[in-house]
Amino acid sequence: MRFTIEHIEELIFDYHEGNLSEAEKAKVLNLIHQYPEYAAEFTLWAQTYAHVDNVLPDYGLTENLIHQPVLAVTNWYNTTWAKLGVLSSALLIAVVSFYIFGNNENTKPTANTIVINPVVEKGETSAIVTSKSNKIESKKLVNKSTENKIKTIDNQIVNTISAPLSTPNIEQEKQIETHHEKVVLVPQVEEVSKVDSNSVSETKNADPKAENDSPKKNKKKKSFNFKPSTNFIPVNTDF
Amino acid sequence: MRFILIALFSILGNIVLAQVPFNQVNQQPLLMSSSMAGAKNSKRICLSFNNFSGNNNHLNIGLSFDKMSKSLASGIGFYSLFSKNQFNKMSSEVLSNFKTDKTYFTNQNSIVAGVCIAPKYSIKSKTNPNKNWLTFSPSIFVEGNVFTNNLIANNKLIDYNRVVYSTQNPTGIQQKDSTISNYTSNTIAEKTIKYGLGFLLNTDKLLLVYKGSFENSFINEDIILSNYNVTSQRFNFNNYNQHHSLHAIQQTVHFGYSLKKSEESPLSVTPLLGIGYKRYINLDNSIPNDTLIYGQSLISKNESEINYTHASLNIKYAKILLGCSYTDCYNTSLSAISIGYQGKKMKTVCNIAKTNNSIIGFELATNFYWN
Repeated sequence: MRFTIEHIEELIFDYHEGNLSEAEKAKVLNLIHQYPEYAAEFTLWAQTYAHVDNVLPDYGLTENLIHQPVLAVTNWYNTTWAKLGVLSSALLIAVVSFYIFGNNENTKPTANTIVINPVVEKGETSAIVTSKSNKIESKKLVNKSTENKIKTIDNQIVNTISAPLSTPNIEQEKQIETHHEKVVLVPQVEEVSKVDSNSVSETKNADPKAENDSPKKNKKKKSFNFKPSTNFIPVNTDF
Repeated sequence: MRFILIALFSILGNIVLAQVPFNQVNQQPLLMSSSMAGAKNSKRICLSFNNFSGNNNHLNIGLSFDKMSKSLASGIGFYSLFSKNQFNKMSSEVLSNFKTDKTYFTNQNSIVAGVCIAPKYSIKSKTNPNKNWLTFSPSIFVEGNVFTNNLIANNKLIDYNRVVYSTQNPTGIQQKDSTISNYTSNTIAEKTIKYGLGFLLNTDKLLLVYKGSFENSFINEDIILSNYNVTSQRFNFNNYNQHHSLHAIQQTVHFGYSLKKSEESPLSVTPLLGIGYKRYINLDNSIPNDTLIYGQSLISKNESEINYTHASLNIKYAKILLGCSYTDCYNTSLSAISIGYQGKKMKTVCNIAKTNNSIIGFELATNFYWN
């Protein structure tokens, strides 16, 4: 190709098409510098490009470009963290199962068992056996005939008051004394908060000897119980 | 040949991935914290719905159920969240920035489901041992999330070295027909497993909840670059595929207090504040090679950021609720005013919200209680 003014148009075209080397481009620029009348044409060529409508052309492939999401990631379940997640879920299920099936044995009161409601008072421990249905009956039981009963159960001295499930029965009390019926502790959470203060005080007054002789390992009042409880403060209704 | 890369503005970290994509965050308590399960000491169903329509569409539906189990002395709960986002922006301009929001169309879907258990513990008052002073409830939860994102963008890669010099333009003129690609298609499928702890501290007026989770995400991304050659009138397609596994820690705290003059007063004022922080442990969103430069799943994420803030003020008079709230999730903010009704067995709140993009939306949240 000859770099002469006769071929200037062809040279300008090749320049913008990228068909020239760097040296050849320099020659073209020198040629235009020698003939300034071609500078305007050179500039116009530089600004020329394929016209595309401003409207985004529809190539008809928009739908084809959308791939279905690949949801299956190869071997994700074989990673350590996935196994740890499965283990955590199994542990959660085991804990829940333990609570459901593991804490119900030997806690249901039978017909011949004494139900004791543990009441934790400040500075001392005492036990009151109350009847579920009738508080008056429990008051009656806190009487002179029972106030001196002191039993030793599992090396713990507790104040026991016999509480029949239906009506006061002296014979049952005697049986209890002689045969040492099994004493079962059943947490009566609802009853605890509703314990009549009078009954508590009567219990105290009814058996002062037991209090004085109670073991010195009275448990200190705990402000936090590690056992979950249904007796809690619900979240305010404003939230 | 030197390219100036043009990437898409990523919208992956938007409100769809927020912890609680609702203005009334306390109406979806299990999304706030798993320790809220059973916190009302009754059975509860929570339904939440919000929709923002405009050039972009956002839809979120939340459903949860929780109850107090007396045998376990714990709250148990189940929750789920469905989110859908569509972004429609069209542009035929030349994109010259590294990140830009000139996308063509984006469709996102996300499904979240989780279970939790929260035992309740009472802390007694020192002056009155028969009275509860504080309730403490730790909890554990497991949550799964499936997220898909389909994106098509008008994305042009231009060779800026093609500059033409002339006597009239000594600084050079850029040629505009040196287009490398016309379209980019990204399809992202992300599966996330979350497990963690929650804590609740409350009195009859105070509420403090915490949720901390460890997230493990598995990401698969398909990328297609298409280039239309005007001269030859043919398409060229280049396919890429990326796999990533990301680990992150997300922590969220909410604090609220109910102000009331007296127990008999019908008027109460309840402010609620929340903040969330997320940190990726193994994120490396630098661009080491040409393949990753077209991807969105990594560059859309920040290594650590405060991704959630919330402030609301609710006023209750008798059974009427009024309130206002502000929520910021991944740089998308929602400002809302609300009105509602609260009875013994039902609480329903309606919100009118506005995003920082001036999109008006509607939100409805309803809770049902029974024993």
